[in-house]
Amino acid sequence: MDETTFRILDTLSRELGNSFSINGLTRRIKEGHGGAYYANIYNKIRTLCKDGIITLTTAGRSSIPSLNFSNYQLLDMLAQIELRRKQELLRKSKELQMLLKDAEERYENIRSIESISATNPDRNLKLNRTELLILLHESKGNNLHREIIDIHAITRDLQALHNIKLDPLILTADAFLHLLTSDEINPLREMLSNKITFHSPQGFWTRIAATLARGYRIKLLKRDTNPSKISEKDLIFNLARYGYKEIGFETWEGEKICIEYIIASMLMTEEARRIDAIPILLAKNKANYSLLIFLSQKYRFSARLLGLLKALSRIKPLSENATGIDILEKLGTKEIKADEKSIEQKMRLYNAIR
Amino acid sequence: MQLDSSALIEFLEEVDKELNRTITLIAVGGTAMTLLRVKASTVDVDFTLPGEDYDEFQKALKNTPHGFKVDYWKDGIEVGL
Repeated sequence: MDETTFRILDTLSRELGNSFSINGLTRRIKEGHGGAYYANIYNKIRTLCKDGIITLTTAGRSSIPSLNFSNYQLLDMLAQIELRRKQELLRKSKELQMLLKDAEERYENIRSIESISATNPDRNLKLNRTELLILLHESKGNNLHREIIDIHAITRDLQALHNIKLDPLILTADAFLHLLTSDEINPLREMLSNKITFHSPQGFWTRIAATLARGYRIKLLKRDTNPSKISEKDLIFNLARYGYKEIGFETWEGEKICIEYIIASMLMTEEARRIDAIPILLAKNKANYSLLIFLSQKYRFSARLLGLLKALSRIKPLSENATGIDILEKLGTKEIKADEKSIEQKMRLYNAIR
Repeated sequence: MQLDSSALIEFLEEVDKELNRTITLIAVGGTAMTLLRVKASTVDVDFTLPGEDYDEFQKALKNTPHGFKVDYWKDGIEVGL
């Protein structure tokens, strides 16, 4: 693959769902790769368009390039790009080379793993950590929970062996689809604009192609939300969306943010009033516990989360909640006990229990 | 993990992004020696800082997910990990 093709496809794959002209693409390539000439990009796009790799749609006087996922060849090219990104990253770190080699060997026996990506790898490397996005083939099945526990156990072993913090986000096929196509701000949509799929990139891109072929829309986000920095306005707006309207606060339209980020934000600010409201949100809404556990490990609030989940399980047993407790306990989390009486009163007040 | 001076500086640059104001952070022990290039690397990352800067540093560190073992002291007394 020539350099210009690499830069075009690399940039477009990081910006799935975002529309921009060839001029806009040239600017983005310049930002991401350090150099780009409009004429070269324009000519190469014409060639890629002729080969069916890229489609061009007209919007006013601009031509908008996008990846043509119905072209089988494109998936190979995207897999090639992942391999090149991986090589470039590994050149920077011998330790990471050993870690990824070991990870591939140890995860190999987990049959449900479809692909593994390292997200935001450059920044995380500076912080002695790696975020892993582990996608599973299946969504249900008797062995699924067992396999998720096994993945966590392997990850813990790798962490101890390589002296690096590993935070895995393990997503089933259904959960991946739900988060990817959601209109809310969530970690998955943010992660995918900066990741390297080091295990089975072809599998990863085939899943993306299949999602688009089913008519779903994907729009990646180029941001990295820190839950503790979610504004008060957005927090109150989303709390109201999830059935917890705070008394004394006016609700204004804000950005739609996933429930897991909202819960993380409440746990990180450490205000007792807000923390006690978390079981209300969990009882009234469907949260992704895998994502919640990932955020709790990343921002180190697992102990408090476990206390809340245990209190909730005694007040209102939920099967997903029990799974979450099981995983946190298997991870060796030490519980910070929650005030069950106060939580129960609050849940009653907000009609989360009768 | 052994950290050399450039890795330490890269880590501090990431924490710095989360600070809302300038603070004083004093590297101690092996961390200081590594930053001064007297020692090649360090495993532990140790700091002391004035009381008025403690909360700001703690908050910034909490907002920077990392995999280092960081110990820090308020006015020379150990309070956090």
